[in-house]
Amino acid sequence: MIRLMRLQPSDIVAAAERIARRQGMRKISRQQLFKIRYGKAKATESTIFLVVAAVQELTGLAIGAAHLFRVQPWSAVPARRTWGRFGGAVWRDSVFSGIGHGAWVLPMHDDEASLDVPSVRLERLYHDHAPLLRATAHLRYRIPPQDADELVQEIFVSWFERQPRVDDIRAYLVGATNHACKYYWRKRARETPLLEEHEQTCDDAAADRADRWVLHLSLGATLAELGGKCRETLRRYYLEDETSDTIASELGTSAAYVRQLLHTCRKRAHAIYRRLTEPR
Amino acid sequence: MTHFDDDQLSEYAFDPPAYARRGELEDHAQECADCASRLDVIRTIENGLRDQLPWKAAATLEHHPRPAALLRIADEILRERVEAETLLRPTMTSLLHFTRAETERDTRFQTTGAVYVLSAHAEARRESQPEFALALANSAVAIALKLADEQRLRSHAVLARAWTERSAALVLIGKFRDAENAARKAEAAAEAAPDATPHDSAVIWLLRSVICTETDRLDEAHLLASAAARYFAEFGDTTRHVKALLASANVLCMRRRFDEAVVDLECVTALARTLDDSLLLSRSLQSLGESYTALKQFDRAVPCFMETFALSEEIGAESEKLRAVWSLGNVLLLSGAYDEAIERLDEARRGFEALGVVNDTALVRLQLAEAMLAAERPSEVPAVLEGVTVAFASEDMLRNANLALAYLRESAANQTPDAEIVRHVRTYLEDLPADPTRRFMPLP
Repeated sequence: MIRLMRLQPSDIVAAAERIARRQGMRKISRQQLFKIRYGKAKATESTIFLVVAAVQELTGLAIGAAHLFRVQPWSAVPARRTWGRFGGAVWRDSVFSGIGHGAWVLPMHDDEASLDVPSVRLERLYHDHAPLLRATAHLRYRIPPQDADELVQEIFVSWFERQPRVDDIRAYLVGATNHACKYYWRKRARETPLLEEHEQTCDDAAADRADRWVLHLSLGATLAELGGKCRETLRRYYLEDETSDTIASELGTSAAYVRQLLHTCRKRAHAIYRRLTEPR
Repeated sequence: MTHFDDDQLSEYAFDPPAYARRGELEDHAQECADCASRLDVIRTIENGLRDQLPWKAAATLEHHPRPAALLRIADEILRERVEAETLLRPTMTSLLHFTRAETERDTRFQTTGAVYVLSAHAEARRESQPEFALALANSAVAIALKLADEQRLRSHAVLARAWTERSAALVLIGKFRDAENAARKAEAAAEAAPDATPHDSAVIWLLRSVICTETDRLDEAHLLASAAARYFAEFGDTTRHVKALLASANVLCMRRRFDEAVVDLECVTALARTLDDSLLLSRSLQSLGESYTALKQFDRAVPCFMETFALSEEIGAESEKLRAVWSLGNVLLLSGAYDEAIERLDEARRGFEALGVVNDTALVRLQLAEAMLAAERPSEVPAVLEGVTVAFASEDMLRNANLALAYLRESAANQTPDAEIVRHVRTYLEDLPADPTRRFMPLP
């Protein structure tokens, strides 16, 4: 967060000192802030107050303690209408904390990506997921390429407008794309009706088919990111069923070199696939 | 156990017979879930590469330029929000200050970004300052409606969010009818958005399920929470998915359908374990433990409560911890270990009293009295019953509850308190939130 807002620890300490003086509180040192920031010391209530107030003063943003510290807000608030032993008695508290919508003015998720500035983060998300979404729209839902491009851009604008707090952004974007594609065809129902499988996402068989689509499209996105040489070698080996000897003789090189190339390319493909598919 | 790295797994998957440590790897994969799952992914990739479709997809995916238009829109959205935040900040010192600022009349706030920022502030304040949150949400709704009227609202999803925040604040204030109206308007706004997603609706359904539970419409609450759970799963919102499942399972508990509740709660607990959310896990375990207790499966219930206790202590959730102690006391009482039960129940009573939790203190006191009567320590009972009081927002519920307590006091004044009467009053009070209109009937 602090990096995101391009703040210097010395500025925070200076601002916190001014606030502490006004409030008659003990000031915090730079060393103390360093220790808290890197998990070497725990922040007390007054430290949290000072740091949050200092960051608010420096940025002008209404940042809360939860944006800067790993706080457990529930620990301080006993259940409002507790009644009875079973979890049902506290159902509202547990559900209520899930009703929140989105992130703050700036995305402040506590993950690596949030350390980037928002537009960089959006661009990275776009780079990672747009190919899959575009292919889903084009290949799975048969949406013309230009419309698919536009639809995917709209999905990202819509995501940015909401910035929903979800555990797996990719799944969210895929869900939103599926829904937008159905909406696209529903609006044009007379032109080309949707297939039954496109309408049914909740039954298991349709979900399996959808999963296979996502798998194939993720692999497609992986291959699109691989260099031309790698893609061509893998295509010959896997799709054309050529042996490494055949590939080697056509490329005018040794079979050992092709085997090494295959090994490197597969390794790269696995890494790209993992990056594209792991929940974030 | 020595694990295999991705390189080794990949080498094996590429050509199993040629891999030198084949036997060792295959044996290991049988026992190690992590290696087996990584091997599965690698095999999936290997098999997928033999299919035509990924190659076709790859051809359509190449050569896409930087999304300049998208980034321009994002910058515009962000700029609007930062401006709104900067303008809003001086008005946020108090509810009075904010009300005086009349943001909905101020032309500088007539932006979609301002609606978003007001809603975000409402969300941040609703737990601690629900009235303030309501004022913020009202302002967000007013601005959004005006912008929509003038066709200047960039996204109806922002209007839906503003209505949702109004609804959530109203629930916390206890105005359920108004909350429901706001939730319905949120739903209508979400559906009107061309970029609406079922995830938007699911968030509102979860809120509506809260309102339905509060207003004793348990079937509807169950339906809404279950539907919301399905869409949260589809949209990768695992945390809300588990919360919605827990809400729907808890409705089953309130309906006393413990057999079904146990099945759902076992699943919820397993899912909650995969999340980094100790509070959610402890609440799932608590409900599961209580369902086992209701089914008299004490040996399964106790470990649930022990874990709830440990988790709650770890995160400092005092009321959850006390609930686990209380539940353990209840299991001991039901198993006939009266002296130990008294110890636990008294510990829970003292804890709840220290927290100022009136209704749970009343229930623990009644159960403590039952345990003392069972342990043949009737002389201690009057002192325990003396401090029993309840608090309800609903006048009807409060009247019925007080009627039950008056009956108990009257019975205790005339003779030695009777365990059956105490239990009758306690179970009536316990069931009252689930059945608020049921009148108290004395024992025949």
